[in-house]
Amino acid sequence: MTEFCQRCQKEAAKVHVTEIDKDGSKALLHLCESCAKGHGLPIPTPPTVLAVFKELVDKANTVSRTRDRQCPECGTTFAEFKAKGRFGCAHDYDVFLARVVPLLDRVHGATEHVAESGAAVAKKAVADKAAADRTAADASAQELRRLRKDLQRVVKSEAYEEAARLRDRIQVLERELAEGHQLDG
Amino acid sequence: MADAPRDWFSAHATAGNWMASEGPDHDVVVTTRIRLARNVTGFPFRSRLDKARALEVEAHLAERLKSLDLAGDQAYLRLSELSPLDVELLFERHWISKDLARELDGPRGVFFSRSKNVSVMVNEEDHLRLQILGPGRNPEALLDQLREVDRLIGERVAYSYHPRFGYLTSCPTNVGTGLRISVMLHLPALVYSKEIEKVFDAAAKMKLAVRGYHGEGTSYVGDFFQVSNQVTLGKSVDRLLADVAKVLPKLIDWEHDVRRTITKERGKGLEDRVWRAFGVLSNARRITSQEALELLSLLRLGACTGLLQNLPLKVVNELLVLSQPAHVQLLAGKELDDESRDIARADYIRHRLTAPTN
Repeated sequence: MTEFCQRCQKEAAKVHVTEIDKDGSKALLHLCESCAKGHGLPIPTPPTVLAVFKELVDKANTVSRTRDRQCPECGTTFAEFKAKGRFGCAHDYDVFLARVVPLLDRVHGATEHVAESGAAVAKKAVADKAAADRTAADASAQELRRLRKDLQRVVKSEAYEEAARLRDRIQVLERELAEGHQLDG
Repeated sequence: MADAPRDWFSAHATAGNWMASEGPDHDVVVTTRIRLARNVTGFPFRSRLDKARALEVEAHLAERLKSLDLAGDQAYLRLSELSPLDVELLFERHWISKDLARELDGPRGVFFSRSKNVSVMVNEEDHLRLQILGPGRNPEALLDQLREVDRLIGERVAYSYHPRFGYLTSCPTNVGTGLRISVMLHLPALVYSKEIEKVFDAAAKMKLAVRGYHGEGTSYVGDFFQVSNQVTLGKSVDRLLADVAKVLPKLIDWEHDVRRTITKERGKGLEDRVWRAFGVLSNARRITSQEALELLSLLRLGACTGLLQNLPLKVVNELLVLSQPAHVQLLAGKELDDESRDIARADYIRHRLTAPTN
């Protein structure tokens, strides 16, 4: 059965909007395309398109940033690494962390070293804090990527409440990461 | 302390001692090699080292390696100070890699202890490549020895170590433990029965790599295959060793089963091939190293299965080493061109086979 626009009651409702406020209250709107456009709604276009598009743009930006980045220590770029299969120095593992982690996962099925002896464990303990912080930041970045993927999925399946929850979580993480980067200088 | 490796290689009778001629499954497991990849903090990796920095790394490591006391017969050799023939001798003994011997340039060296069969390459793909080589199937004992060498070097050198990724390596395929365990297997029956492809498939499923006679980037020749762990991260050294050790008995049994089947077929297939190989090697007047290796592989099979009852495996191992190009020139006492080398090789093998008990 065709559902009619809640505003004009004439045209078929093609735009389904779930508005969710920060306090969690929500409103469901079913509108035809012209009413949706004309009414200046906060979300006039279907969130599906918007969210997916934003996700794609974000992803493209992240990838191109990583690709162009150059190790400040040895000057190696990720493109050079890909061509040669060799890193230029120890710092590359952190500089290209976002690309290194999935690469290691693919090659080794793991992303963390398992130390074996007391000596190795001791070394691990004295390893500098900066590197540990970078690892934490990477965990957040990974979480962020996971959340964005989830968001894409739930938007597709039109589970808007879940989408809103994910959106808020993403915003928090993005803020945290940005602050972390500033601290790193 | 020896200045050059030449003296060390001249004892013919012991030339093949690093290959198994006794012990469990010596007929299939030829050698076990274990290596650890390490880098030094404060220096770029190999691919980003300019000449001056590479010299610095080499000098830094040479000084520290020379202070090790592994055994009386140890030495540090700069490759640039060796003749090309000596470099090839080291390669043919598996003491240095093909890359260190032939592909890479710039300052590089090797520290080794002959009696321990330990070598430490400097400025290979990583600043340091520690390796130990031993006959047959005894990876646990070899690993213990290599760990000790690693510990001793670690006291002198600041290794590049990441809190999350472990030992950092130039290529991310080695990161973590930096460990590669390579077991050299002689699988002529599986090659003959064309089941070797299945071995490759099975190995790939277990995340093991199968490589040629001289390891990475070398071709399969003479039915010798190096089976090694592919993964270096996410598992402890002991666990990686156990993974490789777990697969070995299956491969060994498989080769044994096929050997039993095909050696029963008297006068046919394999028996004929083994004797033909013996015929060629004990009569040829000229032979390339490639052909020699392929025929010696059949001789090794013949010696292990009792088809060639009067041929000790020790002699075959010795011939496998000494028929290689640099060793042929070592035996001749001079540098030889390709053709003279093939003639000298045939002469040596022929004489050795007609008097195998010498």
